[in-house]
Amino acid sequence: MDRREFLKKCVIYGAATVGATLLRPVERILAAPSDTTVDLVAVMGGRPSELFDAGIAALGGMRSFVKPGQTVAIKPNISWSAPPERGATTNPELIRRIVEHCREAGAKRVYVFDNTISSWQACYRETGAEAAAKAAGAQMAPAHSTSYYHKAVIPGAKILKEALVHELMLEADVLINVPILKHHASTRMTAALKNLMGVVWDRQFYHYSGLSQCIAEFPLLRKPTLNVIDAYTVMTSGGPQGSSYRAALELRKMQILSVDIVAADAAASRILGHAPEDIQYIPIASDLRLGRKDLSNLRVQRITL
Amino acid sequence: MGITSKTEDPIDRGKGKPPIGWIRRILGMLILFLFAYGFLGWGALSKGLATLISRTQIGPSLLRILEEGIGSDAFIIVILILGSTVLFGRWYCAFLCPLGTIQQIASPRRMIRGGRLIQHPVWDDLIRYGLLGLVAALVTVTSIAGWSGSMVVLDLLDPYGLFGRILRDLFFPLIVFLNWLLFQVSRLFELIVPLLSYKPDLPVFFATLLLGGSWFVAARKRGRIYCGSFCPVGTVLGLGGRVSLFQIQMDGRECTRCGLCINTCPVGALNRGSSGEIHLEAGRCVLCMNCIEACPVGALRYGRRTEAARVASSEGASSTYIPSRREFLGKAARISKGLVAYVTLTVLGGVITYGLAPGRFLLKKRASSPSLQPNLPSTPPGSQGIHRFTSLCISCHLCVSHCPTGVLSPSLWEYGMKGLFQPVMDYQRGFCEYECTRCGEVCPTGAILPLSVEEKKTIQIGRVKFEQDRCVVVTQGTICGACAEVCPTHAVGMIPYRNNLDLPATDNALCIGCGSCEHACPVPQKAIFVEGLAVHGNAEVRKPLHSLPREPEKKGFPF
Repeated sequence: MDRREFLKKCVIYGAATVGATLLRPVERILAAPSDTTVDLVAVMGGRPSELFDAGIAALGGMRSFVKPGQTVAIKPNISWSAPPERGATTNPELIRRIVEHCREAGAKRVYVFDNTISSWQACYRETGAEAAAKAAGAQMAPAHSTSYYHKAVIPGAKILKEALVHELMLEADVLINVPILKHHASTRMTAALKNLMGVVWDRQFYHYSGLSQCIAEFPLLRKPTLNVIDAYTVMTSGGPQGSSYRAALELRKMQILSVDIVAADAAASRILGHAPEDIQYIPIASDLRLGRKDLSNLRVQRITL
Repeated sequence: MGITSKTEDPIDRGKGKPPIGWIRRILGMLILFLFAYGFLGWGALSKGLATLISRTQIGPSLLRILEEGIGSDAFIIVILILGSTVLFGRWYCAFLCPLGTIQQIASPRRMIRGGRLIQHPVWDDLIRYGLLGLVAALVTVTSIAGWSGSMVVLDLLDPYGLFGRILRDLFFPLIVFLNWLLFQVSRLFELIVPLLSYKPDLPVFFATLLLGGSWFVAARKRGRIYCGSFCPVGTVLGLGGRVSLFQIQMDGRECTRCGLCINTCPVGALNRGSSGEIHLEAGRCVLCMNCIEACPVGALRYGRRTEAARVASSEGASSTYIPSRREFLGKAARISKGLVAYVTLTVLGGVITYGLAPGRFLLKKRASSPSLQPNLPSTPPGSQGIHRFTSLCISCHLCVSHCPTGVLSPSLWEYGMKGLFQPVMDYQRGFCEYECTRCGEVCPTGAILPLSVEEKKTIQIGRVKFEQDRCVVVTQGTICGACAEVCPTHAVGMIPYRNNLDLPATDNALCIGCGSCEHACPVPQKAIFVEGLAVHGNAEVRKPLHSLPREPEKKGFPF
């Protein structure tokens, strides 16, 4: 590099820095703080991608959550080696659309990951998540070995005081929680709170030490930036796997979006025909001030396409 | 004049020969690599390769013939190999046998008394034919006894099985370590390198290290002593090699009796006769071509057997052999002794097989058995039951290498003496994936028969048992249901219990014995577990209550 080139670069970088500072207020206007306008968005009556387009627009667009250059981790529920039609795993069309929104918002890297129950490669492949993520420019991050997990202290937890947590949960700038709503044999319902069990290594500890309490305490570590509950095809019995004769599906064509993980689950419990209080971990999480379960006092925007 | 005399110099005659040894080296390494990729690689390519290449091996093919009859494609493979051995000698040992290639690599360049456990030819023959006889006797008795015996002697001696265990139990951990190093480096560049899943199994690791290591050390000192004195496959092929149409020829007129070839022969096929002449025992020769490369005068070459060589090879040194009455009687005596030995071995084999067969005495109950009463180990779907499985498995661990969840683990004592090293379903390590049929696809012996996914879902390899007193729902009063959550068939469901809790309930009509529940159960002393079935049964497959998604009863938002 000669002196001339050096000076040239100084000017370019200097101008860029000044430009960036000038741009900042504009960006702030674009990214209007979403939670001031609406607490929860419920959308119904379209394809999963259309539901998301409408829902995220109501929350001020993906730019409210993802800043240019950030790393985004998307946590769907792809725990079972099952085709999307079984309704056991997050709809791949939704995963793809979320990744596309993140990329448009300028995310540097987008990862999709889950600590699966069936063998991980089969799950990533058979659920359609891998194909969807790759098509939209995200990477599938492995989560099948303890080497990807780090010990984390959960502040304020009574039982789940520490856990081995996936590095993306700890390091990603933005975490988007994308569960599918299902009946669940253990907890009666799985959605946003329960989905975060898939970023932890030792799930048996949960079951052994008090499942509901552990599920409720985990977000004390970190709350997702955004929760998107896929309630397009809803498994109403025979969950969470849906491979037995007991499985039954309902075509609800819904989606719930909220920054508040407890509110999202409270709304989801209603779709399954429960009261939020019927699902043990929802009131516990509410008492831990992780969110609000009283839907009547929340600003809920309902959109029908 | 000077130039002519140089080319005629016998020392230079050996130079400029075709690189026949390199054909063996390249093919051997290629086969070795294909085996390594088939066992330890990934993807559909690895599975296809493993399925293909393991079927070229004699040991598993023989077992498959016993299972499928002579209509089996394994029969054609064995006939092709035996037939080509009669034509060309033990080419199988030269490069198709991966354990042979490893031993060849391990062999020193020069060795003394290589390839034979005992130098005395009679004793050495007694060992190798004796071992072959014992294997044959055990296999015969076991197959006559309707698959209730043991293949333990074959499992310990078969080269393919031993090679498979070396790959899976010794080399795979090394690959895992290299993969981990690559993973650590890749993180510096924010690249994604998936880690290999490996659950260490120290007893099996050390047992294989001891066995494989012993052969390696032996090969380092004395060449292919395993191939020369122990391998039952080699001994059988040696019978063909003795009379093969093509073999290594020794030209007695060219030979200077320097003995360089003797010291490079890894199987001890080259020996000095009483008057110092060197002769080749074609039945022992594994066609490694070391001697041809070593001979400074080019007295050795691979080619069509001459009459003189035929006589020499069958009778040692003398080329002026005249059959006599004495020779004939000697031969007859040897044959009758052989028959007596074979009958004795068959009886011995029968006794051993009978001793191993009942299983009640030697079949060890699951060591980590979670049940109150110790129970039987489970064998993979497609194996039809413990006795059939242990009688047909050659312990190559190819299924272990390909099992996606790691439930199929190498055993040491789980089946007792009769099933040393044979794979067992270990539900502490994993569970049998509902949609997976991989073990049956790759098994080369027919011990695990191939199944379609639909067939597999109907086979019961074990039965679920629930011990309520250990369940966290009862002991701690908290919700659980990890077992019901993972059960693919609803053989475990949840029924109402006190205090708004649900308790697991089992239905063995639906249970396939996959062990998902046992694997998931969070209690150290498992509250729910699988009891293996000695003979596999059938599970009911129920049609779904609702096959298609229904339209919801209530329209609109419920909140």
